[in-house]
Amino acid sequence: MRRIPPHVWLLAPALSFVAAMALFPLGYSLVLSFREWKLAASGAPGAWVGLANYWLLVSDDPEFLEALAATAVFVAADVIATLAIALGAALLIKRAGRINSLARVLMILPFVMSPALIGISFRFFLNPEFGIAHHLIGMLVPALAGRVWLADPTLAMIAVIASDVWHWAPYMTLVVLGGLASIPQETEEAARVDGASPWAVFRDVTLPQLLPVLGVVAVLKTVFALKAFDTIYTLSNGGPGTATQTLAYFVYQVAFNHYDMGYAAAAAYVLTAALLVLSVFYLRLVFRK
Amino acid sequence: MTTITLSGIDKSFGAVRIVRDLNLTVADREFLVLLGPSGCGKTTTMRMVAGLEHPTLGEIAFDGVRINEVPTQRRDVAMVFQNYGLYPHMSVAQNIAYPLKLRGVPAAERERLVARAAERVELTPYLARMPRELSGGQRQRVALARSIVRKPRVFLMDEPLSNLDAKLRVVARAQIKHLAQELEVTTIYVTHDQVEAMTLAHRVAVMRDGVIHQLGAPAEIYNDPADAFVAGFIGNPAMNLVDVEAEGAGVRAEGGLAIALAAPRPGRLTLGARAEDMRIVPASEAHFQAPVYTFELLGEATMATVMVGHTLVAIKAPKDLRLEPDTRIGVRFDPARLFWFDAASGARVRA
Ligand SMILES: Nc1ncnc2c1ncn2[C@@H]1O[C@H](COP(=O)(O)OP(=O)(O)O)[C@@H](O)[C@H]1O
Ligand SMILES: [Mg+2]
Repeated sequence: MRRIPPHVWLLAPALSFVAAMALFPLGYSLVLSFREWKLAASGAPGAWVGLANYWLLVSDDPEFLEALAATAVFVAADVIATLAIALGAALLIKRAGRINSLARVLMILPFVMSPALIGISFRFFLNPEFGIAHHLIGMLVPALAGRVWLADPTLAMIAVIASDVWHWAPYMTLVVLGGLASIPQETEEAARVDGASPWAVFRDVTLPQLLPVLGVVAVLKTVFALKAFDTIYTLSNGGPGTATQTLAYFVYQVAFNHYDMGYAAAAAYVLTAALLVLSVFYLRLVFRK
Repeated sequence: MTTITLSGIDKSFGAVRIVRDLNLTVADREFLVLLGPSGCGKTTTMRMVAGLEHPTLGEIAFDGVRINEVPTQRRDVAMVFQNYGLYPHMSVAQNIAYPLKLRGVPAAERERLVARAAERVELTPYLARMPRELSGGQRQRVALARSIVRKPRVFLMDEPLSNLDAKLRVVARAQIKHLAQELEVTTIYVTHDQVEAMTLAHRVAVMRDGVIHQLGAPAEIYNDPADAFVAGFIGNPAMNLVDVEAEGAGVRAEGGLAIALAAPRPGRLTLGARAEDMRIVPASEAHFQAPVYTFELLGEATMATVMVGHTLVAIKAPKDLRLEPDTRIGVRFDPARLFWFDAASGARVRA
């Protein structure tokens, strides 16, 4: 009899845990996406319908297409704003110093806050009666005074994006800071000696060496934005109407408000496919040599 | 065509004073070497000339014009960094071309100048490579090419050979010397290696703890050291330095060994003599006698070491001599090549 080497035994518990927690739901939801299962009618999956759920999504569901559009807007704006703020903040606090190290410590706060709490806080701040942000913004930008943020499709989308950027930008700033710290200082000094202005040093020497890290931040943030749910749920509830209903929120709606599990599984798999592609991309970026 | 003047330069990091009241003029087209042990402030001094560091006190001037407030990119200096500071995302050709690009040199002209600089340091076959695909010696030459592709007012080199192996270092040293003669640009070269200093420099500034101990031509520093530190730092092997007490007609080393030399003044002194300025002689002619501690074959010569007090003293001897350990030998100094220093301050005591 062939002996099974010890490392297999040692890895077995961890592997079976991963299989149960990640691979099983992944496989089961794929199976569900090919079946019909109205939870209100039956406690168990029903007939096999092939690709009908998927076909319905793309051919006859304006709400799904709206969700796709909202997702595109949300993800694009979220990723660009996070990248810009993280890069700017990192450059601002990269020098050693008392204020900068304090800033670095404080940056971790938004990141450790629960996304649901962030959503609720933003909701309070934007409340037209007693929200401080509502009044401050109204004072600074008179055009926005008196507008009810969460009742306006565009403003609600901006609020949702802002809350997610607020959640993630500080953490991403720390990631960019790490990237900046790994750039050899001699390269930037050599550029100055060679005659480069501060802007030229950034453009020609710092930024190119930072690109791999910025790529990682962009891919990670895209993934997190695609998955964002708690903040949207607690801040805007997908509204007004369906204005801030992203794909993740749409899946939740179909599954737990319409109880249409097969259809929700198909929509979820559209999201999963996008995430899988991004994950492969991410692994390539991180582990390329 | 640039004279560099450092006047009353002080540099402190926090409470630590790294460079102390440094005064130095580097003449136009001179090759000046800053020599000193690691941590003595050589790099800091050079970085102040480049504008990468700012003096706490004092003035830096090029051709008499104060440049303290001129930012690095407008000082028109070129620098070879200790770890070369190559741009890892640019090819060798792009690295060398970067200073020209910043100066708006047209592409065709740029290409011609890059080719010429690369040829000068024998890099032509590697122009398309990335820095990570090069050996240490090749990287060093890229850094060199990048600094000579234009004609800067001042060349700065910070231990450019320290990351090379011993054999390559000799070749690269010759190359730098050749380039320097050809280019005729005022140069400050930093090293802790006294052989590099002696072979390359027009003048050497020997530094310790942020202070220049002696400034002079290599031969001057070797033959006429200003103090015990310089004497002990220059030469291979280092000059023998023995603490003695003047006594009667002679001197006595720690431990009681009598040396038949007349001291220039009474009191505690340090006696200095180089290995090649001492001879092994019969007892009747000897200044002192001691048992052999070790005996080494060097190839072109031999080296006998004896213990004087608590100090090892090396004596160069003919290549065919053979000595057993513990043999008692007589040693004679060359009186014209003998140095005396104050034992406490290290200052030279002239006869
Ligand atoms: N940026 C800095 N901050 C604090 N100390 C420094 C800094 N740069 C150099 N030093 C200190 O100054 C001293 C001299 O450094 P350096 O000029 O690099 O010496 P060398 O080049 O002669 O070896 C060292 O003790 C070093 O630790
Ligand atoms: Mg140094």
